[in-house]
Amino acid sequence: MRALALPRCPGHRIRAAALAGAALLLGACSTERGPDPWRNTNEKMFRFNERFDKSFFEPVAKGYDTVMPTLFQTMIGTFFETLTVPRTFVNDLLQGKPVAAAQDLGRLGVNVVAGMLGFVDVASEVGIPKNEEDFGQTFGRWGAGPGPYLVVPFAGPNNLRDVLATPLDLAANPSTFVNATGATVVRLVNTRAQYLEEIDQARKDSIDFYVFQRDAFLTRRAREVLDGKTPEIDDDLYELDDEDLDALDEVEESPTEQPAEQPAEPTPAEGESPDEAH
Amino acid sequence: MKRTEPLLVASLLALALLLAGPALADPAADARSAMQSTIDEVLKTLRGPGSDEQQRAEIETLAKQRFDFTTMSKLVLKRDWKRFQPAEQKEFVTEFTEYLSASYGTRIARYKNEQVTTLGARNEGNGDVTVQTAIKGGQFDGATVDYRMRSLGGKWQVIDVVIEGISLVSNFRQQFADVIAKGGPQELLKRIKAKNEAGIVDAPPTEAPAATKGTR
Repeated sequence: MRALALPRCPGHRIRAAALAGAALLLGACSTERGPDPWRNTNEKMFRFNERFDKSFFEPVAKGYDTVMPTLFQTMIGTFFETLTVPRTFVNDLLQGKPVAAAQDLGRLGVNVVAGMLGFVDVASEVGIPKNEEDFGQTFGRWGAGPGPYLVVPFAGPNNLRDVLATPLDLAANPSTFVNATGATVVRLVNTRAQYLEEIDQARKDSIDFYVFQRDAFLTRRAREVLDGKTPEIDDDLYELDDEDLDALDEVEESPTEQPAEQPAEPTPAEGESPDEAH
Repeated sequence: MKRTEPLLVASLLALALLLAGPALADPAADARSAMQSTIDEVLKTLRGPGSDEQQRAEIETLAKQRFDFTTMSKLVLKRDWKRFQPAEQKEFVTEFTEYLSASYGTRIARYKNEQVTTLGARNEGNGDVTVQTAIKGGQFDGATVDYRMRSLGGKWQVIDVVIEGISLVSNFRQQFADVIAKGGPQELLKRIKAKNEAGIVDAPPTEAPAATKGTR
């Protein structure tokens, strides 16, 4: 199989970066090429995943959803979340957050002891905050950019930084060391079942689901690195060109309002005139 | 000691007036209360009588009053706006309005049992205000919904909704730019119309029996 078309980053060999796990290089590369330099391959994977989901995974999850009471779904979800607490704990420490680390250690203890081995989130009920950290976030915290967007077969949206971090995440999860294929299947189907409505709605809501999914994923990860803070949105996004304002008047027929736009300076679209184009 | 009370009341009153004065001129506060009133009305509708269909229609009406879909359309299309003929621009605004209000209506209608808390309002550099809200309770507990608002014609209007950090304007701009680059304005209009005709609001009933679900 041919290797993915790696973006050429002047002065750097990204393959070496991948091997060394020096994800710091990723940020520098990705900004030059946009977040999705491997789009062609990604779109193929995306289409494959969509087919797989619609023909197999989603129907299975729907069936599961009808037979499995919501309460049990929540409990199963909580159990698998409990298994990720050690991973969070390690990453709290790596990110220099001793308070969060203590909270998560407490959370683990409370949920295992008082929460039926981790099936019930007693910790949240007694007010212990829930943190979620993984190695991808830690690398992000240390300054690594997300790197190129990457659609993984079966698993879906990801980015190179987080894919490289996945082995470490697995190493910090106790369930990795238990040979339990059945449990993994339950975890995957249970998770899919909890997002039935959301994903269905997102597919209906989007004109281009691939782009929607990519933006949603990249934004979610960027926020997770910032511990839930929304990354700054460039004010540029909300700027209207002056020339637009003239065109607007003709379209303004909304039954609700007549938004009086800020009057454009009395220089109506000077640059527009084609004769002056020199 | 009793005698000092009128004085105390008077000074408190003065203080309140001092505080209220600037507050009235504060855009962030104005935008926040405008958005709050819309949110309150939406929640009242959701909790009131009326079929799901009626409620959704009412919410759509409320959304159309508070959202400036024309500005949103222009922000979403940005440079591509000029590639649209005036008639196409008009058509786009109409279709996009329908599309957004239907999808907003459907989404909000699912938050029947949730509360919405307004967390605060922030002045943006260009005179806009971002009103920050969060959903309380239910599956999406803690999810943040920010409304970017602009004062247009003396009224605070929503020009973007940022759900969990995902800006609707930015997200749609990315989606649309691709479609326009490949197929031009007509292709985009075709696709949005198709969505509107198919009825994005047509969410499947949640309690449908397994058999019906499976065969869809």
